[in-house]
Amino acid sequence: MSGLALLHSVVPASWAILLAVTLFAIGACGVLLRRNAIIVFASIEMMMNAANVLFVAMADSWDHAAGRIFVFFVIVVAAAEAAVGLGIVLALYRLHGTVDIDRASLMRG
Amino acid sequence: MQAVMLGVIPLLPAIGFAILGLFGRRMSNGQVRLVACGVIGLAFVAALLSALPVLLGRLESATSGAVVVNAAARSVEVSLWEWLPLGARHGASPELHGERFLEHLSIPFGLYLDPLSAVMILVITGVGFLIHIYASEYMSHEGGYWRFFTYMNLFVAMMLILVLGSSFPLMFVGWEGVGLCSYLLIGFYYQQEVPPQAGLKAFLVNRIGDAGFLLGMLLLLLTFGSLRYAELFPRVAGASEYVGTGLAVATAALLFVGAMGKSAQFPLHVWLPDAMAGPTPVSALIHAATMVTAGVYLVIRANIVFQAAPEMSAIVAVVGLVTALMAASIALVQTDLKKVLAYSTVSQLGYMFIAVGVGAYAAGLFHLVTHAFFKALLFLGAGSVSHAMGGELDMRKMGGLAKKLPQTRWVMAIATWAIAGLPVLSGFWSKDEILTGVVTSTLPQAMKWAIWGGALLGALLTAFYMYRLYFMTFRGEPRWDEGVHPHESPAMMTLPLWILALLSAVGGVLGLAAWTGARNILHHALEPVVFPGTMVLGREALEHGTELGLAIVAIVVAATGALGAMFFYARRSDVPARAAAALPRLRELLRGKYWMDEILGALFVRSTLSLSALAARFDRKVIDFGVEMSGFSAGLLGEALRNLTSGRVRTYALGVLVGAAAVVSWMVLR
Repeated sequence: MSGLALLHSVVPASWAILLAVTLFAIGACGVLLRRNAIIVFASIEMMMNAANVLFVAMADSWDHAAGRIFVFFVIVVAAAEAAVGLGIVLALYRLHGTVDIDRASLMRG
Repeated sequence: MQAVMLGVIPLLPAIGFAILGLFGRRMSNGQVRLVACGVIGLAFVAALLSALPVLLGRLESATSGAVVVNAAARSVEVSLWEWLPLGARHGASPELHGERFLEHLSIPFGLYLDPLSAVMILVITGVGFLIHIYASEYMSHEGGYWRFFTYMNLFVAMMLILVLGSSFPLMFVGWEGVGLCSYLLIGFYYQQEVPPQAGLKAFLVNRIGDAGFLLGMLLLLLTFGSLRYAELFPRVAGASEYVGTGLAVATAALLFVGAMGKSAQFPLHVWLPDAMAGPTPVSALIHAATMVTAGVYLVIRANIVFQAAPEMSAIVAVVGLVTALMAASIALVQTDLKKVLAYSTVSQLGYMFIAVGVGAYAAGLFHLVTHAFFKALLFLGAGSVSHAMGGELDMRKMGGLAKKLPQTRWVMAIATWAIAGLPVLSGFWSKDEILTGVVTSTLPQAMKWAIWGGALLGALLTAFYMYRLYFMTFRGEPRWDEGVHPHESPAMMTLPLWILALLSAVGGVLGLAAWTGARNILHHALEPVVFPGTMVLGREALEHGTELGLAIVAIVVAATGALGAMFFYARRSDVPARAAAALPRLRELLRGKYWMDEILGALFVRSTLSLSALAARFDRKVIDFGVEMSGFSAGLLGEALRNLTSGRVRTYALGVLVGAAAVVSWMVLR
């Protein structure tokens, strides 16, 4: 029995899904409830990694490589997004002297 | 040749109008006079050249291109260009009419000359020319000389189009054109208060008539599928099942409403006396000789339509009689020279409608022509008097002018003699022919003799008020204001007066009565215009002796009126005042002009105003409320919706999340 097969037998797919959903929910709550741009940013990362967990779990469960490949895409995009996002946060800080995203409401109708 | 000449007739005054309208401001009075009178004079020559062959019957049937000469109908029709091509396949089948006739309808801009329009154009250009000559002197001391003649030339052009148009729509163009000129010329003294209002009144009252004319025209179009005379009238004449139907009566009634407005018939007569606010030559040309007779022309032109509705024809005669008597009685108490003549015009127009109502179309046209002569002369004479008196028109401040104005006095004497219906001047013959026409009509005996008696009473009143005017103005002791020095008018004014006086005197030769044994020229000329084949209003023969007897009765009646006026106003001038004092109610009734202005005002003007007030309230309370509510609710909605764009990223993120969750749950639960 390989390591993976062992894992399968011990950890059912539903656990992985539950983990992904929990992570996603925590991330979503972080995005919606926190005002600190850095925390919000981290929460977004958490939501993406929740998706990654789900990808990997399902790829394993269905024995399909596409899920694993997607994970790499997500990691690459997340890296690029982190660069851009941190740039925005920096710019926001320079503008307002704070990273409270509720202060950045110039587009208010 | 005939075709070219025909086109030139209305074109000449139109050219005059264009020249004066464009360059008149920079032209001297002499140049304006030359252009204005010149084009009308040339138009008269052209009218003479084209009318004479038609009237004398020297035509040969021929069709060449757009020109159709019909010797039997003694008509020349020239279709100048396609004016209203209403159908995609126009000209396909002229015979087809019915529900799809509009696909074939095409109305050309064409001129139509037949004995009726020939007589009309001669009167319009002939009398018009004389009045232009007179006006060129009369108006020379007024401002806006060129403006006056611009309007006058336009008027003549429009009047010629009215009578020469080959179809009802073209007649309507002229009809509205003369209405416009009438409005402009009544309000010529626009700096004063009254004339513009009088012009407006004329225009609005005419509008009522025009609506009737337009509707009548549309009914004819729907029924017969054409509005070209040469096409329409034979169709009406051929439709025996049409005669006497409600449709025929309605069509004739609507056309007559148009005629009532233009020709100032009761109860639409109220504008004409007010129209005297315009310059006197305008009153002579438009409100006596030509435009106001357009209604009579319309009825004669559409005589087949009226013959198809005998009941309506009888109503025309009755309306004419009512108008004639009412206006004549009002004229008895007027003291303004021009107002007397205005009511006299209304009354004489009533006579013409009596004639055309009983089917004596030639008599109506005859009276139209003689009336154009003597009434134009009377107005121009009145202008000459007011010229001499420094603008005064109140007859109570005249008297004894015969010595100071010998020429005006004599021409006025001739005109008064003519209009009073005393032998043997023109008015006698035309009025006599109308009376004979009433007697020889096939109306019920009682109605016929009632109309005859009424017309005779009208003749008595006419003779009375005209001689009252004459004696109050020219005879008796001078009652002039201080500082008035009457003087005879210059030759430019008296020459047209004398020519018109000559015409008023001998105009009767156009229609000598049958008992004279002479040939009735106008009656014979008009034969092809009047449709005898479907004549519902027949003619009864009358013995020459009876006719002469009736004529003698008419002479006695007219002479009584004239002598009565002479007695009351020249010999016993205290009698009228005592008569007025003895009959205060009657005097008030006549002075108040039967309160027609007030009655119409109460019935129509006030009801219209209250309706418009109601509409205004509805507009403010309902329409405006709705409009404001829609604007207000849009604002409210925007106020509500602006909360959606809070600008807070977290709110948007919540939206994205909820949306995504909704989409996913939809996909899963579907």
